[in-house]
Formats: sequence, structure tokens, C-alpha cells
Amino acid sequence: MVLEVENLFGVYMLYCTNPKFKGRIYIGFTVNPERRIGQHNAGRHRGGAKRTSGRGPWEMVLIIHGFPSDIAALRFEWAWQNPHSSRRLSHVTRRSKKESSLQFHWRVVSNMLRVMPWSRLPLTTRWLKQEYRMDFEPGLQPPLHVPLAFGSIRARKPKPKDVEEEQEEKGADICLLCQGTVKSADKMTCFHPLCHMTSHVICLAKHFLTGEAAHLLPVEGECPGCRHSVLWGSLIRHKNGCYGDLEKNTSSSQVSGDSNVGIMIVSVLYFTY
Amino acid sequence: CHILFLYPLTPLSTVAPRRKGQQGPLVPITPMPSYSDMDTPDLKNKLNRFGVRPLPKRQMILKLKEIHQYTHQVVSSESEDEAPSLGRPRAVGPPPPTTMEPTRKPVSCAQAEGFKEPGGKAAPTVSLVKLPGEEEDMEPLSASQGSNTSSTAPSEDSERLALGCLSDDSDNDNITASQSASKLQDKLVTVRHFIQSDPDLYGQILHYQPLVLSDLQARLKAAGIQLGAAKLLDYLDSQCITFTTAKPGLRGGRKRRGKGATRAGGRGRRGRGAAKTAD
Repeated sequence: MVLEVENLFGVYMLYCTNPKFKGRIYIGFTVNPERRIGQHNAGRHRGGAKRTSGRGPWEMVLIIHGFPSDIAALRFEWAWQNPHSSRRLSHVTRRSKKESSLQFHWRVVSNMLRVMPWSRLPLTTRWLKQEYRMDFEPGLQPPLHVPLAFGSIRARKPKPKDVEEEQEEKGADICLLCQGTVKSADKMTCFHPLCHMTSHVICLAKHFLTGEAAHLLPVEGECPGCRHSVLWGSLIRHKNGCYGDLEKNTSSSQVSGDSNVGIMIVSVLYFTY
Repeated sequence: CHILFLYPLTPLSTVAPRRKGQQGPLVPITPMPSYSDMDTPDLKNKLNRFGVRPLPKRQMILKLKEIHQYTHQVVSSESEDEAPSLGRPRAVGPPPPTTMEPTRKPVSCAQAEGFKEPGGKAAPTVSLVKLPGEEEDMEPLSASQGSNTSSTAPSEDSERLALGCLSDDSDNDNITASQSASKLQDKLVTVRHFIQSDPDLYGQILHYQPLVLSDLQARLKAAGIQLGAAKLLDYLDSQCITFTTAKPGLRGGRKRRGKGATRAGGRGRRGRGAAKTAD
């Protein structure tokens, strides 16, 4: 099964399986991983990068996704490609003789997930090919909210809004936290089934940030309606009409990605009840 | 490469005989010998008298002129402040060839500021003490050894000198590092409150939408908050706020552009859509 995700912004790592090129690595950005790997392997004239063209065959082994915008993902891509030029990664040492390119790039990305500005983004580390999978070093564990996932991923077009949903929004919604009326542009709802929580974006953010007064952007918090722990990034994705890859479990660091959303939601329910 | 000349607090005896009537305020001082016209061996000899190793000719001339200026001063209350600030050369030598992360910062700090702003920040105190040791010991030793042997005998003199000079300047209205850091913290708190008080702006951030940097800077300025671009970028990074320098409407250009501030410490630029960050 392939996980389907709307508004996918991903930064991926390619591995060259040609023995002549000895495990070369390429880092890139894409909004459509399946199309992109096809482009790389087809060569420069079919949209692949010049650097990978004719140096294949390439496998897309790892992808970091969950970036909320293309700019955020492109930043990440650049830093991963140029860790020694990035001001945020000055502590990352150069590749040692015994370190393969794959190991080095994995070390770099492990470091990146732990530093600002990426450490508070709702990212997922996904190994697309199990045989290449590596674990995080003991001292380089990612933030708790960043899961390690396995399995394929596919970009999906967001569904157009239903007519029914639009009618619902015309009714007056009350913010659960401040009791004020909520306009549809500011409306946050929880994606757990049976949860009818509604609130202002800012009210909910402030609620999630209790205890982190110095921060502006929340990472995760407890839904005031159903009390489930949810990621801020997932709530925003839900608000934007993305129903794929809604990360709910914040304490677990390993989530199987080989399932579609419906199955994921059901399995979480079974855990909690 | 420059070697750091350690100016002792008392003039050297070799210079003393040349001084005439040092006590009176209006007595003429020995004119400077024409170092620019001297031969290299002569310059070497002269420098050797001060314990300075042979340098490239141009640098020897500069050094000798410096020494002469320092040792032939009008003794008055103002010049006591001037004297130390003349002395230290700005370029205190190349940083060690091997990468040494902990020591790199102090070296570059001193290189950037020299001695001209001794009271500016507390950091130069550290670098000034360290540097003489580095300079003196680094030439013969390997670079990694040099950085560790910072507290050798010659450096004690310079430490006295450095601290003496710094205490002179502490009367000025230069603020210390801790004061400027807390000022910065206050400003950042103000920025945060400003953002939280603007629902549109805060809403944008909460939706992970990139902010237009020029727009934000204009808004901050209008609110009376003075924050330099580099510090602002650092702050946005610490808050995980994405920003763009593209003009709205022109975003999505094909030109590959930056991801790195041009400030000190920032380097290369690349990326699509004019996305820039303080890396």
C-alpha cells in the first residue's frame, strides 16, 4: 500500500546502484516523488537533473516530507546539499574516510532535524527502500514529534471542497476556548472522528503553547475537545483539505506508512479505546 | 604575516638616549628616520632591536613607523588613551590552517575589530589575551598546539596591557556584551508581542505561510522596533518562521537564488524562488 498525501513537499535522497559510480548520492526537491524518480532515471532530456543524467540507475531511498511550503523544503534541500556552508550546521564535521556517502548524508540529515528552523516543523523521515534503512545514532535522535516511517508515498491532488461543507460553515461557530464567533478563515477543527472541537487559530495556538511562552509556532498539543495529542502541522493540513498523512501519535517515533489514512485513523482509535 | 609586538609599559632603553627633554611639553621630539628609504637589511636590524622578527619590507617599514609613533609621544592626558589604541595591528596573522572550531571565533573577532574598539564588547578581552600566546607560539609549533598554549609569559605583559587599556575605556559610554545581549532579548520580546498582537500576521505564521521579509521589516519599523536584518533573520530561524525575499507576484521565478545571508558568517547562495534565510 502506498500512502497518498496532498500538498506534498519533499526533499529526497537518491542512491546510485551502478557499481561503477560506487554509491553516489543525490539530494533533491520534489512535489511528486514517483514522477521525479522516473525523470532522473530517464535522463536530462526527460526532465532529470544534469548531475544524475546517464549516471544511473538511481533509487529514491529516503524522503523527508511534511514541509508546509516549497520555500521551507528548498531551504532544507540546500542545507542538506551544502552542510558546510550552512550557518546552522557548523557543528557537522566533514565526511570521514570510513564513512560512506550514504552514511554521511544520513548523519547530516539527522543533525538537521534537530536544529532550528527545522526542528519544529511537522516533518516525517521516510525510508522508501527498506534495504537501505539506517537508524538514528543514539546522540542524533530527531525531535519527538518527527516520526520515522517506512514505505512508499504518492502525491495526491487535494479534493475540491464539497457543497455540504460550505453550507456547514455558514452557521455560526463558537470557539471552544474563548467563546467568540469564528469565521471560516480562522476556523480550526480536529480531525479525530467524533470530535467537534472548533476554535480560532490563534486561540488554539496559545492553548498549545502553554509552557512554551517564548515560542510563536506550536509543535503539538492536546485537543481541547477530544483530548488527543495532535500535531499543529496536522491540524493545519487538515484545515487546508489534506487528509493524507495526518500525524497523530506524538510519542511514538516509528509509524508504518504502508497504509492509507483510513486504516491509520482506525488503528489509532483501537489503541486509545 | 604580522607578529604581535608587545608594547611594554616602559620605553626600551635603546630608545631612551634618543629622547631629548622628554619632560617638557613643548620640547621637539626626534623626527622619524626615513624608514621608507632604508634598505631591507637596515630595517631588519632596527626591528631586531625591538625583538621583532624580519618581515616583508613593506610591513617592516609600517612596524617601525608604528613603534616610533608609540615611543615618541607627547605626554598629555588625552594621548594616554590614544597610545594603546594605535599599537595593535589589525591583522594579527592568519588563522591556523587546521580547523579549530572553539578558537576560531575569538581569532576572527579580534581580526574584525582590531584594537580600535577596545571597550566595545567583552569578547575581545578573551581574544586579546589568547592571541599573543597564539602568535608567539604558533610560528614554530603546529597550529593545534599553538591554540592551547595561550597563557605563556609574553602574554602576561599583553594581558596587563590589554586590561589596562580596557579599563581606560570603561569610562566611555560603550556598553558591555551582557548589556547588549539583554537589550537584544528585550527587542526580540517586543517583536514577539508585536507579531502576536497582529492577527493577520500571526495567522500567517501559524498557517506556515512564508512571510515577505521586506513587508515584515517595514511593519517593524513602523512600530518603532529597530532590529537589524541579520538579527531579525536569526530570530525568525529560531522561531521556525519561513520567509521569502521575493516580491509577492514575482515569486516562482526560475532563477536559482539564495539561502544565506551576506552578513559575516553567511556564505553561498542557492535555491529556487528567491527563498533566503539567515544561514
